[in-house]
Amino acid sequence: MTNYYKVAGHEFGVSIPDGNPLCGQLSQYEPFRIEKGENCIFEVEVVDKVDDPADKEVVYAGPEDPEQPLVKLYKSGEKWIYEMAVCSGRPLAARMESNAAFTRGRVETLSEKGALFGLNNALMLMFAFRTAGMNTLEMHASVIVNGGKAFLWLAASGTGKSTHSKLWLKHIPGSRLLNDDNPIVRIMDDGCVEVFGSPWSGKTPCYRNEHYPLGAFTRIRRASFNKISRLSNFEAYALLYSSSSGFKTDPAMGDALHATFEQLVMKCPCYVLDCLPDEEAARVSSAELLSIKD
Amino acid sequence: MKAVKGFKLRTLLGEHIIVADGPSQINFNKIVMLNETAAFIWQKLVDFGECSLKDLTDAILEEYEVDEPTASQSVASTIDQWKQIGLVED
Repeated sequence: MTNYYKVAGHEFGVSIPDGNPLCGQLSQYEPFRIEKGENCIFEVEVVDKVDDPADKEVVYAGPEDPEQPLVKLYKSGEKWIYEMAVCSGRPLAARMESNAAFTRGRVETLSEKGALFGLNNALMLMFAFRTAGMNTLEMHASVIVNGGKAFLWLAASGTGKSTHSKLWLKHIPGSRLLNDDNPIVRIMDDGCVEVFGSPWSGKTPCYRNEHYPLGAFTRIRRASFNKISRLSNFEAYALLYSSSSGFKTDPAMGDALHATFEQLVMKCPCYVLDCLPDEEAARVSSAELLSIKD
Repeated sequence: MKAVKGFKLRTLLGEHIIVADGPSQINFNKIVMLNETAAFIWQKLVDFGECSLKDLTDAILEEYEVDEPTASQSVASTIDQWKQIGLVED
């Protein structure tokens, strides 16, 4: 079975052998499914076997945090090899190989339980790497829509992005969650910056095929008080840099991401919110963010 | 001494910055802003590979109209700062 999807305006295809249990586990992708992929930017195929080449060289190994998924990226000749586990110390969930251009990927799932996790991560990686040169960022953020605009909360895992979204949902009228972990930010051909929902949303099942103009990027920082401040362009750049997927080590991808960050820094309001996990935090952030003028 | 691997000099909104682009610097979460002279020193450091304070001072003297004590002072303090934050190693 081959399904086609369109995320943030980019089409891709996913092929899974009939009878594979994954076929029945793709409900999070359903809102993004399209009939036919005419302009696919990449295709990923689930296969029985992906070789584990002896000559592979590590180019990236994520931190070994028992709370976080473990990812490793290798190169073998022209090919990229990507391995992932639900967390460090657990067996591998999947292995993917991709061509150099990230247009074709083959995924082998290595455990039935981790199969969907593996496929999700493989697709997220292909999407982030393939679209890096297309003014598109896959970001680590939680997103609230209010007044027709999207507000992103950015921070390392466990800081309080989702918590701040929940506070807006509870206390700020007109708020909706667009995505809780991996929204897509794209500079459109007309120069407008749009925020898209995606089939990937961390632990919160929130898979909305909707998009809204960007309101602001806000870094969440834990504090003993609530205060919101504008970031300088350089601080904003550092924030976007550390919150985006993509592989900055690859020269072409690094240059493309840099160009996207630079445009965003000039176009978009960026803030830091020092906050407690309380109602006043949402009041303080919304008072500033909802009064931004175009 | 030499530049530590994994950093890249870029231009952001007309200013020079150093960002950690390499996988070896995955935990380096800073962006370092450089003035014109510092950017020049960094570029020379990368071009030279392995070099001394004197090599860098000579490069400055060739490029800019400054006296030797000013140039050597500028190189020494810049390299010292970079060593502290891990951009340069012996």
